[in-house]
Amino acid sequence: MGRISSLLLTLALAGLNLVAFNLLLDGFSGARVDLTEERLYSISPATKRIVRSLEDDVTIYGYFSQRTHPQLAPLVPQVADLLEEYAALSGGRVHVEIIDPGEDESAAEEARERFGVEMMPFRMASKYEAGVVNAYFSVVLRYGDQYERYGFRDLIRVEPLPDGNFDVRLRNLEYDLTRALKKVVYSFRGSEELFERVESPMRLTLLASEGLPEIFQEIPEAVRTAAAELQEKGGEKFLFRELDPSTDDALADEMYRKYQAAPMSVGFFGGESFYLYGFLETEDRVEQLYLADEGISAATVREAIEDALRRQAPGFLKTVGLVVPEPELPEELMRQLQMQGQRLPQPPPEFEQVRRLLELDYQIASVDLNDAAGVPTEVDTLVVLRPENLPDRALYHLDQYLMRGGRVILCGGAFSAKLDAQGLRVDAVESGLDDWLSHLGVTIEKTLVLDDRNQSMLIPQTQMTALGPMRTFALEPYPYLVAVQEEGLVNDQLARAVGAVGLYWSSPISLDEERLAAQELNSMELLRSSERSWVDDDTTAISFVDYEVPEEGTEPQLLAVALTGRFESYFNEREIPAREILPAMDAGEAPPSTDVALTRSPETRLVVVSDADFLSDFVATTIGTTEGGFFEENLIFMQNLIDWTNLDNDMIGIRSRGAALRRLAPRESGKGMIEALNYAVPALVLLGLATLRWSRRRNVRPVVAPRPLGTIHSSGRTEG
Amino acid sequence: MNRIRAVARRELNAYFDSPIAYVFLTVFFVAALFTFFNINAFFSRGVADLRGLFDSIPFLMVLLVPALTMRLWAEETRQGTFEMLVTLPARDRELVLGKFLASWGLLAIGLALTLILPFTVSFMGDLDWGPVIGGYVGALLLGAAYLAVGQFVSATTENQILAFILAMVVCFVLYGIGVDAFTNLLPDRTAALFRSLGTGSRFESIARGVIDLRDLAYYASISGFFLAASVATLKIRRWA
Repeated sequence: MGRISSLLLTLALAGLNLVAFNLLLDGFSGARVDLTEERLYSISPATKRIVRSLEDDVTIYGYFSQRTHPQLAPLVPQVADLLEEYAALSGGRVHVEIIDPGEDESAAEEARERFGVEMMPFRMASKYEAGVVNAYFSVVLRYGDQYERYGFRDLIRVEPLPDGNFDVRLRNLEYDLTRALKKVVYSFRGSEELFERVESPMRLTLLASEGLPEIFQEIPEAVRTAAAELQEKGGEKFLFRELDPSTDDALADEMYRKYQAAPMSVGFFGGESFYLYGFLETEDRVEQLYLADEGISAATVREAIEDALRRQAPGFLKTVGLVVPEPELPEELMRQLQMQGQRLPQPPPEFEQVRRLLELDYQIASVDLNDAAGVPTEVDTLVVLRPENLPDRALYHLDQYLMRGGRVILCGGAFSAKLDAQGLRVDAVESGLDDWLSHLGVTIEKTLVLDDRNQSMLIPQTQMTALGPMRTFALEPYPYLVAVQEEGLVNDQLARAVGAVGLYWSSPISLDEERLAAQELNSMELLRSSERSWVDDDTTAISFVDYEVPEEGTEPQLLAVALTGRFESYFNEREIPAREILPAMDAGEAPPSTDVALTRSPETRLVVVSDADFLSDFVATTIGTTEGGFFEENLIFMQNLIDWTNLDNDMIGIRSRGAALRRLAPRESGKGMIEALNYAVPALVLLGLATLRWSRRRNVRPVVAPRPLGTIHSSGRTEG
Repeated sequence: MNRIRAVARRELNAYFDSPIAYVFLTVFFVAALFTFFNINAFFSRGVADLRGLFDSIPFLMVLLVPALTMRLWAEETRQGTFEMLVTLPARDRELVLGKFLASWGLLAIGLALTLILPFTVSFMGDLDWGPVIGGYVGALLLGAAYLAVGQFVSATTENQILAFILAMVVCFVLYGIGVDAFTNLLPDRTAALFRSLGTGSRFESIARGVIDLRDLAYYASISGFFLAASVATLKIRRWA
C-alpha cells in the first residue's frame, strides 16, 4: 500500500502545484491575443498616444460598491483592469483609486460633495433576493479642479434578451475615458504653449500692394505689428514675408499658381486693382486670412493667426461652430396663445441633445451666420444644421468662411418633420443655399427618399374587438426612415465603421461633375440608400405606412457626400450682399459695400448630408432611440465627420468600435429555408460519414481468411 | 507517440463501430442548432453573432460529454478487457492519452458540424470572426477539461450509468461554481475566486474573442490533473 499512498501524495502535490501555478499567472495580464475585428478588448494606439503624452497628473476614481447588482458585479473587475492599464501606460501620470463609498462614510461624503456621485438603485429579481439594491457604479476623471463623471448609464449598455432577461455589458469605456482625457488636457493648453507644440514652422505671407484703397491702408501695418509680436514669441517657429506682386509680373504669376491670388478690387466700381492677401502655411495646411476689411487690427490678425496655429498643432481641443435654426413655436399654438392673451413661452430648441453630446468631445461655439463679424476665426469646423431661409449676407459669411480654409458640414434636406397636435407633418424647407451649393456642384433635390430597407415606426392602430374599438400600437416598416447599412455606407473609415446610419425624411443629392471638375474638387460619397429605394414629392403620403416598392425607377440615392479641394467663391463676380444696417443709422441710402470677397479657398473640406432630422431632438427623443433607432450611430457618424474635417483621426477608430450592433440584413422571407438548410447540411455530412465508413468496412478483408470448417487447427491465435 | 496514436485510433473506431458516435453527433448538432435558432431566437434578435450558440455550449457539454467518456474504462472493466489492456506493452498514460484524444476528436467532429452556423450568419450580416474563432477554441478547451473529468470518473467504476451520472455531476459542479446564480450567494471576494474557478466563466472570456494565457493554463491544468488522476487510478486498480 505504500506505493498507492505515495502515488496519491504525488497526485495531490501535482494538484496543488497547478493551483499555485494558476494563482501565480493570475496577476500576469500581458499574454493575450485579441481576435476581434476591431480589437474591442485591447487599448487602442490612439489611447496609448494620448495617455503617454500627458504632462500633468490625472486621477481616475472608480466608485464601486462591494455589494452590487449581480449582473454588474462581473463588470467591476473589467473596469478596474482597464483603469489600471491606463495607469500603467501613463508612466505615473494617471493615478487610479478604486473606492467603495459604502464602506467608508467620509469617502461617500466626498464623492457626493465633490463630484456629485450618488448611489443608484438597481432592481433585483433573483430567486433568493428580491427588491432593490443601492450601489455605486461611477467613474470620475479629475484633472486639476476639473472633472468628468460617468454614471451607470454612461458606462453600461443593457440589451433585452428574448427570454425576458437582460444582457448587461460595458459600453465603450475606453472611448469615454480617452476623450475625457483628451478634452480635459487639451482645453487647458494656453496660447503660450502654441509654438512649443507646432512641429514645423508656420509662415505668414502678406501680399500687399503699394497703392491700397484708402480704407485698407492701415491694414498691412497691423499685420506687420502682429507678425512682429508673434515672431518674438515663436522665434524660428514663425516666419513672415511680405511681397508685392502688383509690380512684379513673375511674382504675380507665381502667387497665382501657388495661392490662386488674383488682383482684387473694391465693389463693382472697377477701381484700380490691388493685392491684399494673407496666407498662413504649415506643412500640411494653408489658411487664408480675411484682410480686406476695415475692421482689421493688429489684435484681430494675431488672434486669427493663433487660432490657425491651434488648429494645426496637435493637442488642442477643436472648436465646433454650431449653426442651428432659430427655435420657434408652432404657428397654431402661437395663434391659440395669442388669442387667449397669454404670454408666449420660450420655444423649445431643436438641436439641444446633439449640442450637449458634442460638448463631450469638442468646444462648442454657437455661431450666428447673420452676425456682422462673420464666422469667428476660432471655429475649426462649422456644422450647419437645417439651414432655413438664410439671408444673402449670412450666405456670404458661410462662403467666406469656406474660402478662408474653414471646414463646413452642412446638414439639411428639402423637407423636415414636425410632430404637432395633428400628428406627424413634413414641411418643405427652403435653405436659401440652393444656388450656392449648385455653384459648387451639389444639388439637393426637392423630393423625399423612400427605401425598402428602413426602420420600423410605432404606428397607432384601431382594432375592432368584442369589447369595442381598441387602440394599439404596432411596429410597421416606414420607408421614409432610411436605414443606411452595408453597401450603403460607402466610405469605410467614416461610415462603414459606424455600422448603420439612419436618415429621416431625407432628400437625394446629385452631383454636377462638370462643376466639380471645373474647380478640380474631389468628391467622396459617404452614404447611399439601398437598391430598393425611390423618390417621391408627395408630402401628404408621409402618414401612410402601406407602401409598395415601385416596379421601376428604384436605385440607390446619394444621401451624403464629402468634397475636398480648393473651392471657388460663389461671390466671385457676383455682387456682395450689403451689410445689415442698424435701423437707427438708416439715413437714406445704404452705403455701397466695401467688402472684397476671397475668391478661392485653400485646400479644404465640405460635407453635405441631405437631412438634419437625423440629429434633431425630435428624433433623439422618439424614433431615434426606440427599438431599432439610429440616433446613437448617427451621433458617431457626425463626430467622425467633424474629426475627419479636422484631419484628426485619433478618436474615429475607438469611437465606432463595438458601438454599433452588427445587425442582420433585414429579410422577411426565407428564414425557415435558412434554418432548414442549417439542419440539413450537418445531417448530410453525418450521413456521408456513416456511408463512407460502412462501405470501407465492407471492403476490408479480414486479416485472416476464414478457413473451411473442420480444418481449424490450433495455431490461429498466437500469430496475430 | 505511435502507441498513443494506435490507442486513439482503436478507440475512435470503437466509437464509430457502435451507434454511440452517430447518436452523440446527431444529438449534439441538433441540440446546438435548436438552442441557437429557437431558444436564443437568432432571427428575432437580429444581431450577426454566434452568442446564441456559445452561450449554450458550456451547459450542452455538461449534458453530452459524459456520454462519450462513460464507457471509456467502465466498458473495458465490464467486458473484462481491462486486464488485457493493462498488460499490453502500452503504458498507462499512453492508454489514457489515447482514449482522451479519441474522445476529443469525436467532440471536435461534433463542433465541426455546427460550423455551418458562422457561415450562415456571415452570409446574412457582417460577422466578426474573432469571437467565432475564440468560441470554438474555448469550446474545444472546455470539452477537453470535461473529457478528462469524464475519463477519470469512468476509470473509477465499472458501471457505465454510474460513470455517466457522476461525470455529469462533477462537470456540473465545475461549471456551476462560476455561474452568477451561485456566486451571488457568496461574499464578493469569494465570489470572484469562484468565478475564476468555474469552467463557464473562463469560457465566456475566450468566447468574447480574447485568448488569454491564463485561461489556456486554467484549462490545461484541469485537463492535465484529471488525466493524471486517471493514470493513477489505473495503477492503483492494477496494484490492488
